[in-house]
Amino acid sequence: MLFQDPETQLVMLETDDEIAFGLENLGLPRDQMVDRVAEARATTGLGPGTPRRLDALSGGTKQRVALASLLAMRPRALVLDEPTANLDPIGAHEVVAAFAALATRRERSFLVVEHRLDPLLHFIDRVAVLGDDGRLALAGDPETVFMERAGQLDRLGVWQPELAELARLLGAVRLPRDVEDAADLLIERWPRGASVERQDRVFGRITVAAHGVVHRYHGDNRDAVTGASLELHEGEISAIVGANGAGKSTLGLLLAGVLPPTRGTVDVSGEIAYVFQYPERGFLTATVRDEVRYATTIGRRIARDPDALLERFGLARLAGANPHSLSHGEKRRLSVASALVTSPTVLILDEPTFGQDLRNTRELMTILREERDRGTTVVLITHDLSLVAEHADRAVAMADGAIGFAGRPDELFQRSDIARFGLALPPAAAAFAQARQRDPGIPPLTGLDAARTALAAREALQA
Amino acid sequence: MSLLAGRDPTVKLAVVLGISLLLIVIVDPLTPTLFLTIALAVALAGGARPGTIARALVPLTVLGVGFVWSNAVFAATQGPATWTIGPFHASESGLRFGLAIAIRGIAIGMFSLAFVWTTDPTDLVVSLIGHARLPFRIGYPLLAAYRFLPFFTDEYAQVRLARRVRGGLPRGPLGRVREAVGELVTLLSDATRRATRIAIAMDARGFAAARERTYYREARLEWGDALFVLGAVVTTAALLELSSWAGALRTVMG
Repeated sequence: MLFQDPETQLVMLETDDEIAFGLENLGLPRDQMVDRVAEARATTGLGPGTPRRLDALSGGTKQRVALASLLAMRPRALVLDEPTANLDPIGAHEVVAAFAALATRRERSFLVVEHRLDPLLHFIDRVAVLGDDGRLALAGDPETVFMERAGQLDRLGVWQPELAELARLLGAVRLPRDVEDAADLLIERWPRGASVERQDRVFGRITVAAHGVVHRYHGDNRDAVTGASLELHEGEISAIVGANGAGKSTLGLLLAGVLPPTRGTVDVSGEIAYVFQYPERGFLTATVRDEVRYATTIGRRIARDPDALLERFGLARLAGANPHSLSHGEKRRLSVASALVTSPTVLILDEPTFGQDLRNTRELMTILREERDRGTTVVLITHDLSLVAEHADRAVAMADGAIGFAGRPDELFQRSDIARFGLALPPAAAAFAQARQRDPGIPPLTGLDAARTALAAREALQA
Repeated sequence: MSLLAGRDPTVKLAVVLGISLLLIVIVDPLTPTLFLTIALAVALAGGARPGTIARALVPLTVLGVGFVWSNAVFAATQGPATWTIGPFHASESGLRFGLAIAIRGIAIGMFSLAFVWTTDPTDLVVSLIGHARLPFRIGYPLLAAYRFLPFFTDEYAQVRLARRVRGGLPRGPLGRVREAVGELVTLLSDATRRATRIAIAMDARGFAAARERTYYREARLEWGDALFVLGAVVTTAALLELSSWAGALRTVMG
């Protein structure tokens, strides 16, 4: 079984020892182990250039080593538990490619537990959907489940493949199995001349202004952020995107005033709240109720009714529970609620949708949009470009500690050098981009929301 | 380089332990100095850079100076004082004894570091399982835990940061203690979750499912290991002889 987190499933210090670990447990003689290690490395694309020490590997490569260590044991079936959930887009791509190579051979059965299905659509033979009660709610071939039973999936709060939703928008009955398939569908069915006019949002005054901010962590020999300048406004959702190690979180911490800039300045008007990627690390009290009220115990002004916030975030019935006992989604909502209690001018969230299901993500994003409409400056630090396409007013892309792009998400998506930021277009946007290459009549849309708007506008025009 | 790196870790560990035990019973300054010279040579031959050695010597030397000082002054309160420096009286015998245990400490420290610098942790565990009857059920989890040490420091920094952002800085000594307890609880709950996941991952690959397991790495004793032990014994004997010939050798027995 391949687990979600590469860090907590590797047990050795070096790549070959890791791959051989299961074989040792099986009691295989050494000469056989050597052959099997070589074979598993070849199958997962771990060439001779792969560093020997595991701690020198990227997340995606670690996950491939974990996969290789399982394959070496020659199982007839493999379970993969959200194998790409903890990886950045490049790492995820690496693992999906390794999986694709295996799946195509059809030598063994795979059971993949996953929220985000687009990259796997090509390989799925059967889909089983679990309901809230843990029972099988729905099962069948992908076309039946994703195209015919979409309403039921939506009620269950299950992520649907973007490409399936796109196909349904276009009135197709066949499920596109990959981006190329979806692009064909677009060329065939997209109503030419559908209006894609975009309304630019009007933002308020500047709340945070960073000028040439540099930060170097103690003991490092290079700057984590190398001279970033950025302005954030009232009533704006910005997304900071980029590969792991590009300096996203460091920039967020600098904007929040948590880290002091080594050089440069950050001017802030008003209060800033920062929500960490692992909310439980910031929990300070023994109950949910105290956690939301914590600001008062350190003498801060409370601007909003804590009980109303708990109610709003669906945590009222858990008020007496220990924060550490909550589910992923609840912990995240609690940390956002305790950040909002002082009604901050700026709210910065590090990977807010990390490991969250569709329902939790939707609820959180609805809350954040409301906050934005109240005038709060919201900053998302994220890998999730679908999220950026749907919710962000502005995208800030980083590479090697520098801001390489700041502007509307659709402008970022049209850049040919998007891979430079360690990013890959989300499935629907990729389908539009690919279709547009072959047929310039297809508009460069960023995602399903934009497609829906364009189609609705056209219908209104015709009516 | 390969002189040490290629040797079996258990053998190396036994040699270092042996020399350390021997040095503990020696109380003159010259003998441990001779051994320290060898330790430095061994570390250099093992591939340690002079800069690394120098950095490691700093804390060892600071500790050593402390030994010299306290012994010299302490001994002077019992015996006749040889020198007076300001308000302090020091005796020559005390100074000599202090110097002896200081250099001994540095020498043992340097031998241990030479061992650490030239030994791969995985090789060490496999060799201890093979030659020192370390149960693999203990050895392998130790390796997994070793992998986590760097994460722990990172995580600690993040927990501190997350808590500081929420609550400002702790006030007063009581506040600081409460803060430390809170940080520890968070770290431990993280560590427990991580350890559980690791244990499940090890189980999932059949760890300890059978009584016996095989090893991908070989922990085979070679002729080189025997030569290494022989060399260590001969060198030790030669150094003791040299020190005794110079009339310096003193042990705890007198």
